[in-house]
Amino acid sequence: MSLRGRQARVTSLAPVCRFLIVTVGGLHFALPAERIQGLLTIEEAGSAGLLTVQNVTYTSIDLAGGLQLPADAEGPETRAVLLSHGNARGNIRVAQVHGLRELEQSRVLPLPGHFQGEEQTWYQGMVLFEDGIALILNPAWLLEGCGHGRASGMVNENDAATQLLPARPALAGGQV
Amino acid sequence: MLRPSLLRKQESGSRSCPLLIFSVGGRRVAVKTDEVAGISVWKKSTPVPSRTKYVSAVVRKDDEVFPVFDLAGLLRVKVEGDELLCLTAKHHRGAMAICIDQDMPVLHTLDIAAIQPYRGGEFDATGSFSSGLEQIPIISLAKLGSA
Repeated sequence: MSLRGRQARVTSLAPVCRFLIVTVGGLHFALPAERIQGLLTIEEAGSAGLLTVQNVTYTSIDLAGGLQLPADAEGPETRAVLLSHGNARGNIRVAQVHGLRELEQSRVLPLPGHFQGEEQTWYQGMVLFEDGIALILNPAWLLEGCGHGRASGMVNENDAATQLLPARPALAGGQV
Repeated sequence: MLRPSLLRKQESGSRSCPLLIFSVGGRRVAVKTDEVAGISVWKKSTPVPSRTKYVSAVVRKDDEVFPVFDLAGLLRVKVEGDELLCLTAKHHRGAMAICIDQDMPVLHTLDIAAIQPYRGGEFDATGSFSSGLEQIPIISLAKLGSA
């Protein structure tokens, strides 16, 4: 699944950031593009939480559950986003992928200082998207505990079972 | 957008406090006018999953994004009306939006001597004053959520 042609390019020489905009639990989130290893359709990903793509294992991350958002029903727009941060690898099921967004770093808004709780570690800021915003997810937080395929933290409880499944053949669902 | 008709004339020599009185869930609340940045029509907010009490959404106005303080949640009421209003509050961490009832806020000048301690106790108020049989709490917008 190629996202080429769906991204808005910035032509200025100012430092730019690239984000993949997705919907999870009815909210828009921005994933830093440099952390994305690929996208799988639901046919490619199957129903198993743990994904093995090109001999790399991606632990399932239950983002909706972790943020107490309503779970998304699987549909034709559902995708599994493969993420990496350091040695950690994980995958998130998203209800919809809206494409890549490239914007000047100055357009990235900080999370307002009024948010004083744990959420300060969940988000790296916000970007304007459509008539609202998309929250920039912190990959370090998202992939906490995902290293070496070990489930912990926000990782889906079903992973204990899914990790027992034989590794699936590599499915390169298209690099971003 | 504010209705100034209820301004009480100051007596010369007395110290007065300019207040803005508005309703949240039918409950009247007063704030100091110098803590209010503006009143506008309420626009749809975007939820932000959060662990901060009463701060779990933002509202976008053009290219600016303001955190939303859930004053109705603090007062344990639900905002009333089909055309809700947005009170933009000056806060020590930056401006923030508060959804209030559609009833138009009114300006009111209060003699400082009329300010009494607030006895409600369910939230922090800097004081209160009597209006008929009603005790109207005076809330500090600048300190909301700081406790």
